[in-house]
Amino acid sequence: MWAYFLRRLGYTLVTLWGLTLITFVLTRVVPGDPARTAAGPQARQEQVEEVRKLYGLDKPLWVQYGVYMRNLLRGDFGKSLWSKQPVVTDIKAYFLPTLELGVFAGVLFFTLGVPLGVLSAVYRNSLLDHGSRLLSLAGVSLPVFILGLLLQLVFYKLLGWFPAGGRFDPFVSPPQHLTGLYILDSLLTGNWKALACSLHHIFLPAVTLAYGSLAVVSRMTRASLLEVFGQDYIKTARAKGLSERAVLLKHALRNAMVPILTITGLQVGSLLGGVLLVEVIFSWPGLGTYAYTAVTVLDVNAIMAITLITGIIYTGVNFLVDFLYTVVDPRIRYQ
Amino acid sequence: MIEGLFGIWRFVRPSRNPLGFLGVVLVAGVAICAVMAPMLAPYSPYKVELAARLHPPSWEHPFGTDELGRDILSRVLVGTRISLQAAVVIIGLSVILGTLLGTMGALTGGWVDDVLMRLTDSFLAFPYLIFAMLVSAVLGPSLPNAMLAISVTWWPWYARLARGQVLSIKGQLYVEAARAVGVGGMRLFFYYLLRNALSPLIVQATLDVGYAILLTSSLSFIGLGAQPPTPEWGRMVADGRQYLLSYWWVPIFPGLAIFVTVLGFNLIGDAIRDFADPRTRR
Repeated sequence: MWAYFLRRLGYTLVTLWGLTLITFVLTRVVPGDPARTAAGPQARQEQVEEVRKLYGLDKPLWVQYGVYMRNLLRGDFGKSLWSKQPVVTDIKAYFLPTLELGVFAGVLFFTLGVPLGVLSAVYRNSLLDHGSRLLSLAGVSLPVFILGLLLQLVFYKLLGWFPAGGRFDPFVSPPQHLTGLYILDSLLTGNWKALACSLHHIFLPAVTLAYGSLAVVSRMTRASLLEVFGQDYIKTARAKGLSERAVLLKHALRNAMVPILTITGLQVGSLLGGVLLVEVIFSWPGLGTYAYTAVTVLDVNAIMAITLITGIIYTGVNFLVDFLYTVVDPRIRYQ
Repeated sequence: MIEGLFGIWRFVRPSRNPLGFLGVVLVAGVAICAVMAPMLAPYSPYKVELAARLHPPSWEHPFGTDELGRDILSRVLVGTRISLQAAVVIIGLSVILGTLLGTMGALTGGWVDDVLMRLTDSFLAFPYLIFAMLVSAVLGPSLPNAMLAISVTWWPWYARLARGQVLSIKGQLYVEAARAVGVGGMRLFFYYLLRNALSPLIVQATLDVGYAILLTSSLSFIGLGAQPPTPEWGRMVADGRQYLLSYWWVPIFPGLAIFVTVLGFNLIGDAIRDFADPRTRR
């Protein structure tokens, strides 16, 4: 168990170091003039020189790398060009709305995707199975930003059921600040009006974000379950007279869980990328919107920090998934 | 290769796999549009006609006109060629780079292989859209740079695939036999190893065309890919987004073009996977 854990931890640390090395090479070695790249396309020559001094870009590469790593370990990602603030300060301000949206979408695709996959596997080749297959093929083929626009058109413009964007109604007072996550805060304080308002606003962006992953997870659940259904121990379980429900939940689903967890971990990557597009479309005041602004002014420092941070989150989630394997499948602990 | 192409027909016959057949029809349609775009397009995709701004779909302009009075149908048709070309270049670059490095790792072994594999781990540890965003921001916003950026994020998948293939082929008896009779160097590499390792790579590359189109249009959507006035689909959606609520056809038609194209490739991919995996074959 500990050997497995330590080995995974070792791989994860090497991967993380690789992440920082790749971004270093990309931002300091690849551009012809890294100072020009960091200062942005509109900067005057003397501003470029200032940036060159400030970041030590006139020093040899290995000195630069040392400074870069030292700053990263201190949590210093440099300054944003357009907000003139340390990138970390900016990211802190924009992080919570993205966390709320991402977690909500994650819960949505997992709690809907797995049961949908189970139903398609149990009622294989039924109308429901074909329907979910079509739904999921559409899900992986429809770009996030088109889905967002279509949902806006239908549910805001035509039906008027949901707001077009934003995180909260400006005319409703937001819940008392405890965690900064509106849904959690309004639940904790019992502020039902604020809860309804936040759910009303988060619904369309979360559905947009979750749809593609829901498609992938439900297909993976179906495929994995069908494979397990063919195993001898399922026959045994049925033969000894267990109810279909017990066979499915205790014997089949648990054994089918490892690939489902793997794909869920990988979907966090698409979620982190998708959140960028979804936030832009629904004017959600989070990291995606921040990144979009950074892209429009080519603020490489800010983009680099966001890339690194999302990379770290993604790697962390997959490390967690590795750990969950041992919970659902104890055999892995002893390998 | 040619037999392989005809072989596809066996498992996308309409009676056997109607969805796979639909995929072939969609992709064939898109390919025809790409080749014939200049002939099919009723207007020039760049012709500005301010008097005809934001006209709804009509017989004259089946997809309507955009904010500069350009014919959206013509722009979507010409955009087909841009998207397909971009996807082919992206996949080509990633396959070449991935195969080269993956094969190198498998053949050299030792620390070279270890370093290469850890490197692919790190590349794959970035969420790909965000990583592609950083690379294209560093290179500067343009379509060729976006294509390069996506290839940079994508090659590790092919490197791993190629490595696995070469590792399993390396030990085969016919490679050993070839070596024993004195085949060596380039001939051994290209004729015996690479040729046999390539077919799963090609299948994977075909499956990935849809995703390449998706990623390119996503980068263009945030402004890092094609620049105006290029009629690239993602860019058209981005530019038309502000007109969505009053003039829906401006962003929606290019968006549907992306959807239909990617759906076509995914339907074919699904059919191939069903066929290749004996557990799901009926």
